[in-house]
Amino acid sequence: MTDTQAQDDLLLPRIARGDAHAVQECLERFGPLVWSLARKLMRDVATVEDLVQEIFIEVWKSAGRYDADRASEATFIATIARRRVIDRRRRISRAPGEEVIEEGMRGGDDPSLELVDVRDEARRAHEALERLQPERRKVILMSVVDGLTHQEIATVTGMPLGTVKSHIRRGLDEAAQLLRPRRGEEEA
Amino acid sequence: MRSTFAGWDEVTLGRAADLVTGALSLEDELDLRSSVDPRDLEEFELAAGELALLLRTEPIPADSAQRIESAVRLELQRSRKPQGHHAAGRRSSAGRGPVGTAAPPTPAAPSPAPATRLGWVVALVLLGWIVLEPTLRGPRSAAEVLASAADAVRAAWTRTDDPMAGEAAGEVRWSDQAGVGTMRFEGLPVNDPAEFQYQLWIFDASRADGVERPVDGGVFDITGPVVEVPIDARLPVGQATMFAITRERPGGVVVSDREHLLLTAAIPAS
Repeated sequence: MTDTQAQDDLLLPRIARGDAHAVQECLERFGPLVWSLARKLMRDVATVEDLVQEIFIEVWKSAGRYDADRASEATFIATIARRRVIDRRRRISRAPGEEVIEEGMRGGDDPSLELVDVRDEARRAHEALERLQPERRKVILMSVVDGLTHQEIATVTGMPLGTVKSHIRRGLDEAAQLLRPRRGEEEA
Repeated sequence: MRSTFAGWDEVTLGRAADLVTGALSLEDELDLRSSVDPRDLEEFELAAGELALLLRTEPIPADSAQRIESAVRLELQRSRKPQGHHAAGRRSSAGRGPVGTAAPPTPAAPSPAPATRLGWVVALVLLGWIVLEPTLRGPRSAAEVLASAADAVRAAWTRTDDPMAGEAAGEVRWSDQAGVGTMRFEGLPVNDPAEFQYQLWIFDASRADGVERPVDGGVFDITGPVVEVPIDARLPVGQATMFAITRERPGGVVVSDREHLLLTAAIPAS
């Protein structure tokens, strides 16, 4: 992404420079993505709000290290959000009283590429997933996109847990190799 | 044999996959982050983040959006204010810490009253004369070094599931080249130094035993709701990848059993 217009469109460098308007634009543009990632984990709205706040504050703090040659802003923010969601899940997994959405309550019962919302920013991910074996693709969607645990995927699909883990490992390996050399090339 | 991402072996690949799908324990995550090139691992996490863009999104309910925006704005405004009202962390004189290295209140806070400003100046001069070395090593000096260090990084604290972490938040700032850093804590429980102390550990990727033997960053006390503590590493740190806070007996320990691992902060790959 080298042309001036594209650079001007980037929000994270503006946030890093302390542009208050960019903070609001970032919330508007990426709020639904972050909210939806958090909703995959928690049902309680107050907890989701708390998590989304935490994620956006970290986005603001991390904006200065964003590198457009390595990832799109959406990918950068989704990665931060996923880290926070996973941290929260790990923290509450042993804490009684907090409610994690149970198996079957998430939107991953029958994931397929036809069902997902393919936006411009997700085109590369869509193309990479399409190159995976169908079973592998299905498991990756349930795990990475819908946020099901490995055990939940095994229960829903009837696959042995070891097979689920193997599909996730292989699927992520292949997808990461497909996405890696093209990142940067896409942005440049 | 098929090639894997970044040439990782199957075990590493499996742990990285577990990491990005939320199936890895914190302990294993620490080991993983210290045993692979952080840039490779971040690339792997970015790939998972890019796949997550396939999520079918839903709009934020209007009232939730309003509350989130207000809260974020409030936090940003608060973070941009001068830090003078914050309590300074007390670098402990117990155990291995040099006596008299207690951090002074952050003197960078502007005051509306000239008399108060004068008071700060006098206090600074006196501090400089009385305890020159400790003052130079205090948070103001560290902040100045970090402000000019090209490799300075910052990372947010992540709480573990240990209830002793309370509602702690904050961040760590660090420069490998300068060997200087500061930690900011919000909501980490105040401690009685006679009962227990907090201890910092720095995972250094440049050390062969960087995972098993993180560098001792010294013990410190929490004296208020918001605390700034300078980092006082006992050994040179070549490439910090992770900072961790444990709760230890007064004076700290040489090797932590990590029974009470409270906070971690992973340094993002540059």
